[in-house]
Amino acid sequence: MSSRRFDLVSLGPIYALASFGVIAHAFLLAGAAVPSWIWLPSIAAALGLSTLRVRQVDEPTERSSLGAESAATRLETVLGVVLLAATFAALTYGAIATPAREWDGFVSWELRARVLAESLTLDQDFFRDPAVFGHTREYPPLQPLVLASIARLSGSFAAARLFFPILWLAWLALLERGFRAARVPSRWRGFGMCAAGLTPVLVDPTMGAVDSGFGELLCLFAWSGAAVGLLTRHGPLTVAALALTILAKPEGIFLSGIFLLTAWVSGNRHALGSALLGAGGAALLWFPVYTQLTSTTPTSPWLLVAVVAAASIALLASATWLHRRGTSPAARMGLVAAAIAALVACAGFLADSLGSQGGVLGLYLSGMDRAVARLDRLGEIGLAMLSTSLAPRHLGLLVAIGFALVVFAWRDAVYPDLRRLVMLGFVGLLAPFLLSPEPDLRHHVSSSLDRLLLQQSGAAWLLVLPWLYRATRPPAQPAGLVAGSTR
Amino acid sequence: MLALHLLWVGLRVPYSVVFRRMQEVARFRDRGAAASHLESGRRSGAAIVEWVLRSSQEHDVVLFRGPRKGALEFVPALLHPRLLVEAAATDRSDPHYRGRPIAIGTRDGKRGQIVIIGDGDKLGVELR
Repeated sequence: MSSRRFDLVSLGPIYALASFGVIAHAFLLAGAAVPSWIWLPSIAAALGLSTLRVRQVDEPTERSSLGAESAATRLETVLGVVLLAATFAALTYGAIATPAREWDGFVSWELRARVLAESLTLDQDFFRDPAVFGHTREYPPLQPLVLASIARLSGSFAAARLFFPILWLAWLALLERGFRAARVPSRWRGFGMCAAGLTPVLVDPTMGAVDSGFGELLCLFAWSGAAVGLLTRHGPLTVAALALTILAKPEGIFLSGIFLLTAWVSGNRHALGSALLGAGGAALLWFPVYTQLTSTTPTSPWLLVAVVAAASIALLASATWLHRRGTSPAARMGLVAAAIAALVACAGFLADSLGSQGGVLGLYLSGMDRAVARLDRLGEIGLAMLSTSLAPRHLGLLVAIGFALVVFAWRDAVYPDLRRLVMLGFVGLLAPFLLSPEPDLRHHVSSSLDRLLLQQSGAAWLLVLPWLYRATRPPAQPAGLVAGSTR
Repeated sequence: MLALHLLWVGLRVPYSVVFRRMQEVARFRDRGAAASHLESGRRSGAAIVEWVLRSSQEHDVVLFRGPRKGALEFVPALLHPRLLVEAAATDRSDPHYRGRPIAIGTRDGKRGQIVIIGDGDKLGVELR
């Protein structure tokens, strides 16, 4: 399959879902029902955007070993395809055989989808009436809207749940595209797809798995797209992925903040501009919907526009100013402390604006006092994070490989921007646990950290695999000694 | 390390991914949604949900009281498309809430509006 045609498969779904999300939220903001036909312009947008050339793409240049290892490579390919096919079959069966079998998937994500399948609007008692028990109804409605619209089009909710295993396949194609952009040879790309695709917490029958009905897969997909966008400096992909990240899950706000911070620290003004467009635009669409769903006093849309515009201008202007001064990323990291202080100040404002009592965002953003009180437990949280992230039953050996690369192969490190994204994302996971309203912190870490790590695992594989490949391949021989060299 | 990771995740597929999932689906189908979600671990209350389902119509409103945590979290999804509404927000003398009938049940010889009581991991029921 040619590179351009493959981009329809690998990048098309992220464009289609982001377009669907943006159009659907425009309808919700207008107080109208979301028509299922908006899939048509969404797919058309995906077709158009997928034809845009992705930069830094090249076929792998090292083919010399393929002939010698062809038998072994064929066996690896067969094994990989069999494992992925068996997993896909199991996930598909798990998705369509029953309704959601895991907690949040059943009580929140799927229930909202079933309510929306009756009428694709938030203007109904389930969403509007505070006396009605609608579990976490203020969560982003994109995934429920997607399922509901497919259910209406297909006439079957089980058919709508096919969305999950298909999204898993789309995610694998997206990762493959990222590995290819990173010039990872095809054999290693196969390793990478198996290594990521068979991540235990993603494919086991557990909370957060593909067929659990949770929003983790959509968030993982969107965030992986953001990482591919950063890796390839592909503006439209970055815009779409960041918009989708915001519209997928509440954690999208945190992840988008990590992306903006990364782009700013790296001095990558291209990524910064794209991310501000995607995340800022999606935030302007989602925040008003969120305030409606929390039944709090709606924040003026103009105030939201002003806040997003002011933050965007401040970030872009400071990035430009630092670029002209030639400030190093290390020095920029020093300035991050000031940014965090500003964020703390903004969080109070956002908590007031977004309803400090009603919604999940408000609960976290109003937790600054808790965060300060918990600073003495930072070591405990860090240790719990380490033990969870290193336990093979969650992410396999992904985090262990990452640590090993940092310790033993730092000189081979690749893609500094992506490296910062992954590392800031990992360290940044301390923040939700410091701010969390959950009183039993240990239980909170053990019950949710694996899913928060899962959301970032795609981005981590996009960094780890090329880095590992570079660290393990034999050192290049001088050009004149290479067989067949024409120099 | 990558080979070890691949070995680990690959070897888990037959049992952890395929077999355990098939077991879970079979168990869920055998027990039904209410028992699968409510009779696991310390939670209980499936019999109450099944009684409410038998006693009410799909368009009904079912009342509840108690904190919206624990076993009660599962009830809106188990009763869907019925709406679960705070009993305190309704008028005792009005048999409807926002145009929907409030579910009526008969239990131990008493007849009245059904109120599900959320009590941590347990569910209770009363008629008012």
